[in-house]
Amino acid sequence: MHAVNGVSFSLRAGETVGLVGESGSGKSVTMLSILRLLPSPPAQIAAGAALFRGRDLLTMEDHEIRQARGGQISIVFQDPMTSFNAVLTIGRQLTEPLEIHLGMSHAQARLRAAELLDLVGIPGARARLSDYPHQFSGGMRQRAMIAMALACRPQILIADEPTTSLDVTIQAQIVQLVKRLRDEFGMAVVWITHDLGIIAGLAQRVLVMYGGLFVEEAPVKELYAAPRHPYTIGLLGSLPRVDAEQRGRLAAIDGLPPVLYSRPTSCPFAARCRWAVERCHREVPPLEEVSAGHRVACWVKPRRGDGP
Amino acid sequence: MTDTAILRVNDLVKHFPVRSGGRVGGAAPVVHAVDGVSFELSRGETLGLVGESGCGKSTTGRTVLQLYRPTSGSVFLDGVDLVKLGRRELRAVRPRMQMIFQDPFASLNPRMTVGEIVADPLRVHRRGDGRRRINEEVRRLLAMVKLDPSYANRYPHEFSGGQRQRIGVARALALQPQLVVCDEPISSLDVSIQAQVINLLVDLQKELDLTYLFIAHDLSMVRHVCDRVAVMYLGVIVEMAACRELYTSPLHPYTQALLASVPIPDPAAEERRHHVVLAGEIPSPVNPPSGCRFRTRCPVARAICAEQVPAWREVRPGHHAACHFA
Repeated sequence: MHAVNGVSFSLRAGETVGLVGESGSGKSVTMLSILRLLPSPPAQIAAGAALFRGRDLLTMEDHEIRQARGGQISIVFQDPMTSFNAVLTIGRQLTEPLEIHLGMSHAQARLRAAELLDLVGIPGARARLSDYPHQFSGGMRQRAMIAMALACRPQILIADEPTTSLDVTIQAQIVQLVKRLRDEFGMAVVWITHDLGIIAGLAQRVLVMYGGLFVEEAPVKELYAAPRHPYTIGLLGSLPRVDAEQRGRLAAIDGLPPVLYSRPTSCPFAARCRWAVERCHREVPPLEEVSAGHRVACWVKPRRGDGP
Repeated sequence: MTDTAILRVNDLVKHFPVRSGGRVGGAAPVVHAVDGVSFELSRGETLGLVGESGCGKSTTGRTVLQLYRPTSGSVFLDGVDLVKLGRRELRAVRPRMQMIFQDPFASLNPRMTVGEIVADPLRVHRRGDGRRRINEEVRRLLAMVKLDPSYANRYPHEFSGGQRQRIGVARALALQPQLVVCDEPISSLDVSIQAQVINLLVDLQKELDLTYLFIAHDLSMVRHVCDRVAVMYLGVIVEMAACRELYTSPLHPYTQALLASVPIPDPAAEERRHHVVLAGEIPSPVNPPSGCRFRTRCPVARAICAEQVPAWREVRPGHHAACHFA
């Protein structure tokens, strides 16, 4: 399985980037690889580098990456139930990184853990430290997960579909919480999602992934107003809006996403693309700049509304 | 009841007992999953039933179909109260009402071929005489949901989520039902596939004059698909109106908060938006709050909301809400 095939991007301090794609597009694998969180074997990082403040995360010693992970770079996972250890209290799981990364005493760490739970809006924070994960609701678990990720004041927070399993009103709470904490701490955020709605109100820059490749990258407003990759155009066209009347048929994208058994030798979207030309089935298109900060991997680079 | 109503649900209640864990004395606790729900569906119409997880929308759908027998209330399908029917009589009615399930992975038997799955309702209800007739019917149904009829000999695991959902649709339509309960039919599918399945459901509705009860939490999709929408909160319907009316002038504070929480895929629109973020979480349906059930999270709640259950009122023509201040 060739999940991710040659992707490059940069993240500036304090910036929020949305990484958008559907299941199997390689968005989570990209971020997990950078943090060396994929079990190896079976996973293999065949090539590439991931520089964090000038040092390569992929080649550093195990003890160094352990320090970066959870210390300067934290991750929040999609499913807050399975990412907590069910047989340890929330307090125990929150204090652990504080003791390991920051060298706090147990008493100090407990105090700080209660502050963190309070910070993410969990009422009665001190008493809830002795609760087990199953005693928290889904929304509260996700808050606790964020508290844990923030424990060491990371410079980068990676949020892997953190609201996908939550209801919309709880999702809105979590998005607002992350925005507030981001501004307070000045951390960079990578928000991985399949939901173009959330990204619209959260990110400054968006990376769109399809079939293990970045197909489009643009400042957030530009991406929604003037998408240039057929997949992005199709995806935006297929989304109904809560604030607008749309009758009739949705502009669906026909066909299915590719299964990545081999390294791509053509554009991964070609089979579903109404603009595809002969070259698209022969060569992988490179990411090319179409305007400042807007890059597209497509031989055709159509505009919305262009005829096929 | 108007003569076009195909389904009329009156004061439907479904409680589930909770194992009390050896507690002595007192009444055994129950989950008030559905607590007095009423609505009508006209022929050919789509009614959206929306709300957050645990609000009772799926239980309502299943209780309407008598997959759960209700605690009380009535469900009239074409004038016949299904609640009063016995097992055998109910079985005779079942072909007229079918269901499309949320999870296309769990709702298809992995040991049956696609052909067997789609033919199963025909076999159970003894429709179609002879194997050849049934095979023809299966091929017709598969073509109807835009699947290659030759897929009949394959197994569910060979298909993607969107294709499996099409198989589920073919099975639901095998008995030519009038009413179809769609229980979150697209929520487990990828974004680029959701539109395909929705377009199929809309086309089939026109073609076959189907009536849909469309249960969903995706309010953007509900706006696209439904004629009328009912909003549920903790076992009760708090607001119901024609689709455009509900989305443009919601009356209940819960509906307002719900609509304000749905992200809009447009950064410019998001910037202009006033974000009302609802505090707290849905309370336990074992002990729902007194008075108005939404009052513990409501931004405008006052003393009266704890004391009196708000009446279900027609605030504007065809637009009902249950709120003291609507």
